[in-house]
Amino acid sequence: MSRSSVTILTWGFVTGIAMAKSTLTVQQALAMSLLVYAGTSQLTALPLIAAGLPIWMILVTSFMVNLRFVIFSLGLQIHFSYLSTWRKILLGYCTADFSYLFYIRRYSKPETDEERRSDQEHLRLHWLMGMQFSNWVLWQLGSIAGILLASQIPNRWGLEFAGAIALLVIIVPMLDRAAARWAAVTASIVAVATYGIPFRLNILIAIVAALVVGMMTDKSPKSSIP
Amino acid sequence: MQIDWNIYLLIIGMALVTAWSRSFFMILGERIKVADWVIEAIRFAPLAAMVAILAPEIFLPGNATSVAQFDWKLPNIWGGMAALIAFYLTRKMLFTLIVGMAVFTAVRFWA
Repeated sequence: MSRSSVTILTWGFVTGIAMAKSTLTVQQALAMSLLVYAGTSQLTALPLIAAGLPIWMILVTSFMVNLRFVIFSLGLQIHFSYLSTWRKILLGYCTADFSYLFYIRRYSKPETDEERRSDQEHLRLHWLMGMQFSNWVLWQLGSIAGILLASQIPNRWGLEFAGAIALLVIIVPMLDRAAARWAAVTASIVAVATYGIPFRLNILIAIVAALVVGMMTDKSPKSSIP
Repeated sequence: MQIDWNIYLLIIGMALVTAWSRSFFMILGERIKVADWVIEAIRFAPLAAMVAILAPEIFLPGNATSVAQFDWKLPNIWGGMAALIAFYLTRKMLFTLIVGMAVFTAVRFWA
């Protein structure tokens, strides 16, 4: 099995464990895995669900942590502008990190009109769909295995902490610039210091503070897409 | 069995957020120009949101009501620090998870 397959399986597995050890039931965890299909937003939603936050606040947070996909969709836009809106939504929904990164590596330039006319079978689209299929299957296998296994393990083992470590592993590679590190330090201090105020507003205050500090300390040229 | 419809409503909402965010610019079409400050904010927003949610999970006990409950003996802090160091040195997710869980568990039982 390739390295990326192992990575997808492992991430699915850990996310599955974190879901099963949160306040979700096994059925809810399975439904979340099969329907939401976005590890980062699942992992960040778990503490918010446990805290009893209103649905809309959790959804806004999900969208925020999913913003990298919004950037990805900008990359795919020119490749698939010929599809109908529903096909675009379906294609987008299925495009997780690995399918996108492999597709863009293989097909960095969009097809010319000439190439598209001669490509009656939409080879690129089907290549991406194949990628999506294997990504989905591997993720769900790992995730379902994690949910079922963790549901058999007593709560006193403290396995729910695996979810926090998984988030940590997602965050650290994002700290590649000084401005990002300042933003992260600000968010941590503010979120902890204001913890306990109603509606978990500490999260919102921390995000705003981190955005301000991040933009102020950012010295990279403006208007360049990451 | 009691079915919590709120959770299922949330799950469906999150699935729609997945679909919407991943197809965002594809369905907007090519006319849209993105303002510079939006791109700027997009660079920091996911990081800020994740850190804001994770930090209290690491530095405060699960049932905390305020920052006054901060305590150096908390297993989360030590497990989190160990995981941070392990990942910084190796960049390996599974290894990080094992080290973090091991230190977390050790502090939980013996500290």
